Amino acid sequence: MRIVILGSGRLGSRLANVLASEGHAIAIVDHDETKFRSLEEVPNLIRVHGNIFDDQIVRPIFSPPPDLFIVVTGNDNVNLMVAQAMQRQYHIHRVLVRVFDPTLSEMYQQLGLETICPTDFAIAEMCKRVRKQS
Amino acid sequence: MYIIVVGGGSVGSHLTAFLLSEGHEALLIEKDKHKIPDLSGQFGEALLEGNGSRISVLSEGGANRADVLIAVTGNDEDNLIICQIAKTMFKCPRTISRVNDPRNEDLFSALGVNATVNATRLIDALIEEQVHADSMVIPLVALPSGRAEIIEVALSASSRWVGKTVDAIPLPDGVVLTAILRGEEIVVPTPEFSLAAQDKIVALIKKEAEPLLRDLF
Repeated sequence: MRIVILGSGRLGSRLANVLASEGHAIAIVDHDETKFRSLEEVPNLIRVHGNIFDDQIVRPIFSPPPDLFIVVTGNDNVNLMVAQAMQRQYHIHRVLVRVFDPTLSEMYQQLGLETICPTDFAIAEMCKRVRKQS
Repeated sequence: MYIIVVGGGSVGSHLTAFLLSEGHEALLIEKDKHKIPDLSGQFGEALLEGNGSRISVLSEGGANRADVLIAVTGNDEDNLIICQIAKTMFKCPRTISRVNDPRNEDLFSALGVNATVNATRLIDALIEEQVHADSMVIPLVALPSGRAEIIEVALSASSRWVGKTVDAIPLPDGVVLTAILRGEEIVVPTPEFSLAAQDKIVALIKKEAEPLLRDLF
């Protein structure tokens, strides 16, 4: 698959490495070049340095639209705006958005975005372990 | 009306003060602790400290009974999410957003924000006015439906339309004159109304018509 990832932080860069090792074609975007340092040097993992709203940067990676766009910057509101903007502008079929705030995540899920809430995951996992012990 | 303003910078605090002075019930929401002491002195009960892009904070602020929510933070992404939360979770009938980056205007309209106000475009227009000292077409509010906007034309003393009647102006398609402001007075324009210098013509127009109007005035 062709996958674009926005945000090369802890989650974004590791995810890019894993998906690239599985053979997917990855382009990872970040406005901070130093965030690319933990990425593997492999031909199917391209680094794109710049602002996601800069048309010149975005056009080559979004046209034709990728199979999947994963939005994982550290800011919920940035993630939600970028996801909606790019989905509209480039007609991307599938967008995955990380949202830390569980209520916000649920709200945008109902509006049709595919959100992933790490807080919900952690709560579920911890509760599972608590239950095991008791 | 009950109006919630999110963002206590200079735009938000002046706006809230204005709304209160007009007799509205208003609430200003600001998250920056450093701004709170000053704002609290000015607004008292009409100030809520908290992050306005949190559902819980908007709920505490009574967003469910707000007639209008206005998001004027310096971050476009925050303004968009605040307006979307107000619409979706609190069924707020009207949301207005400041747009800092003019490129986001269309996106905000498409995503359900009722009106956007773009300081950059207003400032551009004002600078142009200073440069040309001509009658100026100033965009006031962009509307989401049909890419329309409300504009104002201030007639300069040297305008060729001063002394002419309204029907003498060959208005392009997609322009509806809504009012003429003369001093404090609001006049509903009739074809035979005679224009004077300093009149402000307010019109609802299609965005395409804006450059045509600039040429005309």
